[in-house]
Amino acid sequence: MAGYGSVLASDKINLEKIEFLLIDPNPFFLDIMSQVIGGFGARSITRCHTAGQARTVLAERVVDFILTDSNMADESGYDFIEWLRRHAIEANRFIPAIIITGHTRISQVARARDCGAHFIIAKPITPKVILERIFWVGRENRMFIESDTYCGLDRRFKTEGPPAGMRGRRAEDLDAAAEDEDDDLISPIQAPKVAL
Amino acid sequence: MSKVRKFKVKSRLATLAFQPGGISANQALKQADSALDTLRGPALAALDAAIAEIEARYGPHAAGRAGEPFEDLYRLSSSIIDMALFLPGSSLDDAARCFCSLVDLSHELDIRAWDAIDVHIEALKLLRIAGAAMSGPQRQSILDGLGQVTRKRVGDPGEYSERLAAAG
Repeated sequence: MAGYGSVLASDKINLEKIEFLLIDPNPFFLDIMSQVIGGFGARSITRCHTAGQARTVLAERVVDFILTDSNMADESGYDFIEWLRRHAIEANRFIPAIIITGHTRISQVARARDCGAHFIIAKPITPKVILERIFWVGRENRMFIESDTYCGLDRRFKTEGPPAGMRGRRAEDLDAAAEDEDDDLISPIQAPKVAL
Repeated sequence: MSKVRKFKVKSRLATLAFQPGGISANQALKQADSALDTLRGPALAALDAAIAEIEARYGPHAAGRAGEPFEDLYRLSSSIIDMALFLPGSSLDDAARCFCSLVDLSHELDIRAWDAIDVHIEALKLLRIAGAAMSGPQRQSILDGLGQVTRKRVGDPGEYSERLAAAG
């Protein structure tokens, strides 16, 4: 299998059994995303215009992958993902979720980093970028972190510990060093350019 | 100090997406591009309609523009970014993003800088028609001008964002 950051033309993917949930207020953008995901071989695609509709879907059944806009009429995509990570039914809480944004509102900049999404993708999208992120999420090896202030994937793609020549002051610096060794054993990770 | 829980989750995507069968990345991209082609005409028509609506409701000849909600202007500008994938190399998406920044900051500060809005509308129209045929430096000079007019008439969105973040 290719490294985390690269997808080879010959790499195979099978999305026939994956349940996608697309959320965007713009019906045309939902058409665009549906065509792209369908072109990748997905057979089950649920479309919602609002976060409220998506919450209803997520209360009724399990989905496998969420692609949501950052600005819905009733709620921001960041608030929606934070709700997903904290309050959705257990089977849906940790599913892969990507936010797609054309413009991040000033009031939402900090929320983008802290909401717990796997990735944030800038519009206008291209099929290549979407496919790369699906591969990356499928190969994902980061830990989930759950605390009072954050619930989502570890935002560090690579834990480098304290600066060179310095001893870490926190207990978790030691844990982080051990975690790095663990990650290296499972899969060498090449940090992608776009990340939270 | 809050308790931190760390754990790994194996998603159904990770389990199912790499099972035998499926299609190559190359084939997936070809199929997606082919599927997108069917939307090209309608998407460009919707994009043109969005620009026309912006001009009709918020342009210099819109008599009632002071009463129009900025939220709609933000939504219309965002929708241009959505569909700009069908106009690669035009910088229309970048200009629409500048417009979103202007509208967003104007909303935050409760400022209505109509001259700055007029400049952005003209830039959208120009890049829609001729952006793809312009040189990179020509497009960049337009985008630089949009940034300057926003900073001059309303403020610097980046600085404001940093101030908000610092204020918690």
